[in-house]
Amino acid sequence: MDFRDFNRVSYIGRSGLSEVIALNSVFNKGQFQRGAAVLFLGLASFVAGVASAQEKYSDVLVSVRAVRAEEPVDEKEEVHPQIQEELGDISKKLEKLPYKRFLLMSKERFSVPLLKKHQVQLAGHRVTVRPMAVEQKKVALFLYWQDDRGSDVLKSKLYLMPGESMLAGTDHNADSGIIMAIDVTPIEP
Amino acid sequence: MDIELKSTLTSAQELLLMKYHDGECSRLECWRVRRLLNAHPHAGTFLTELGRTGMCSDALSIHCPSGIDLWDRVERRIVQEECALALLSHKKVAGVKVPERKFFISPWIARLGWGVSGALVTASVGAIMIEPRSFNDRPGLTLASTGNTPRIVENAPLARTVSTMRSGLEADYLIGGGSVGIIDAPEGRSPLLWVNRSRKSDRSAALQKVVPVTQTLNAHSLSHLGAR
Repeated sequence: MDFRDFNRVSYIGRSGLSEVIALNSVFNKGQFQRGAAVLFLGLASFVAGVASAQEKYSDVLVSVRAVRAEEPVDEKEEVHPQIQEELGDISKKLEKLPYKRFLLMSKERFSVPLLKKHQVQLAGHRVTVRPMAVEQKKVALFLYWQDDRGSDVLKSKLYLMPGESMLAGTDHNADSGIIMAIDVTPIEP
Repeated sequence: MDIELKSTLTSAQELLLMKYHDGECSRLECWRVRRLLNAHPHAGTFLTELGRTGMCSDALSIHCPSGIDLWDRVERRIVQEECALALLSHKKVAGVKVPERKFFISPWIARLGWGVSGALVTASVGAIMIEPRSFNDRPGLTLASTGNTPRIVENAPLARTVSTMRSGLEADYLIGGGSVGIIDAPEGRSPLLWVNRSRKSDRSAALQKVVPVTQTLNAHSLSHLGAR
């Protein structure tokens, strides 16, 4: 098999059987057809290369923190909430929530291969994540959160920016709430 | 290797397929998966992509029969073609009279036309694939900005394709155990999601503005998206 055949084969591998027959008939004709076929192959290889460039991430590093929010405040009450030091990076966001105190209860950090499911227990709450895809450095993440009673809190497919925590919370009871802070980082193989 | 981001499957279908892949389906759900696989062209692809990471399912074996390797078939066919070229001169089909084509213009020009058309089609496909697909271009629900004031949007438990223009949150669907609210974060960061499960407690300190909804959704649409 010469070099030309190799090119054909690599193209055929991506496209399927029908193109083999089409290409064979093209190759056997005049010079112009050969040139057009080469141009076609070049373009197809380029397209395939661009498409495969999106596949460079294999795993996603996921960090989940469970935060307990205590002492709900009244609508008109101005408060400066007490936020634990470990939550400094998300303090600005936590301040938007009507609670007086925020405590880190538990945290987990793990690597998940794309399309694989991973489940963690944080403060009795079960969080399931499955990274679905990485595109333009955004991570499409399936998130399923169940509370300590096994009830569904949130089920979603989110597109997250690496380096920025996504916060999702719920009112746990009348006096407290619970917040999950999720960070994602795509990992190259 | 990753699943196409803009899946045409609905949230319920995606969840069902994921459940099936994880072996968590009941018999009824398995039946529903099989029906879905037969009915929806993308369901098989979705399941195949999930299956690539490890597990293999019955449904996959229906769509991808084992023991048949396409590459082997292609290679065999190439070898056949090579042998045919080497041993025979040109293929002639006996007994079939191929009608002579009559072109109004020169056949060479006609072929040139086909060649150019093919190249253009390829170039168009390439351009579409190369074009960066912004998530913000995705059609869906757009929430109007209310300036720097914090806001929360109370909506139905199910929201499909949620995207905020100014902030960074994007989601295909949000299914909450209660109403799902979106609270703007400062400095244009991604907003917070708040699942309000107890209606009794008034946690509306952050609520200030009514946010108009600019677009209703097609599949799995919000029945309403009101804000206080």
